[in-house]
Amino acid sequence: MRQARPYSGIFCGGVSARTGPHALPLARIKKIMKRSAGEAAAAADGGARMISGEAPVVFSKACELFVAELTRRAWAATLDGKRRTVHREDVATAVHNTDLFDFLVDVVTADTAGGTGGGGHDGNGAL
Amino acid sequence: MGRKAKRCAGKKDDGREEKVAAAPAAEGASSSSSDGEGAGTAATGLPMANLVRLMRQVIPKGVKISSRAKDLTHDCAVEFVGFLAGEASELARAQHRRTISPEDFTRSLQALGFDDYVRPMSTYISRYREQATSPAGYSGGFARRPPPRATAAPCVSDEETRSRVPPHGEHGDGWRTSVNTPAPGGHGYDYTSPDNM
Repeated sequence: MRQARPYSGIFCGGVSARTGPHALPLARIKKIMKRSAGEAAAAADGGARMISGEAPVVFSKACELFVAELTRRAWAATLDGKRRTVHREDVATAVHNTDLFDFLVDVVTADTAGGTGGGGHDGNGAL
Repeated sequence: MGRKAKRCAGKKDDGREEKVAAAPAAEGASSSSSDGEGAGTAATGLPMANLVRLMRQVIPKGVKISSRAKDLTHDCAVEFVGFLAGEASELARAQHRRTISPEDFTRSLQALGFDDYVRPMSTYISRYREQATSPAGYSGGFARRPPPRATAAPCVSDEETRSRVPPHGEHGDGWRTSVNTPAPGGHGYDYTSPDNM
């Protein structure tokens, strides 16, 4: 619980001690960042190719905030449907209803429009 | 739109490369219900157990989450990180710097409209630096990180990445063991089967 103490005034409850200092692994975050930064570097004006040691830590925290907000909005959509299981459609509804998440519309519709939506899945059943 | 298409193409290529390399078994198991593209994305993305844990922290107890909702949230999180990283990279390049720093990150948050995140992230950065520089209690856990504002060379980054990734993929456990003592009150989560509702 020492780890959560410095931020307890910012986030209610903070991060659980069991998750350690960071809820998401930094190496994975860095890999994703390098892939995206590499694409930006390949563009005409180029982009930064190197990442400081602190940036993945900050991205990890921002990703937590993002996942929390997306989950809250999906839960609101679940309540509108009078259900107690968060379905994929609830997440898609949350993305479409929020202007801030416009950059995710491609991710959401790509899965729905593609062939994966038709078969090979467990439907909407809860595990 | 062209930019997004390019990013998708890059993602698929990375997925194929990751498939050729041995992906962690846990990741493969967690995404067994998805198609090949899903498996590729999971191999290059974030661990599903950590993501589900974050999701459960903000919804009431007893609420179930379907596996497809987890997969979609995972894809959105990966896209979010890539989106921010691309914007931060362009901001750093505009100032003729080659290293993405946390300040570029906060500016990219503001540029993309995530104004609510800017203030908590700025506070997080400042307090993280205070903590990283103070030796009391946290030096063991944070000694492996480069100093603030350091420019990491690519070879050093690769070594750092290799040393930080355990073969079993449970990176959080390593951090927990090295920094924190597990609290006894953490029995609310079922870690043996992350996909079990």
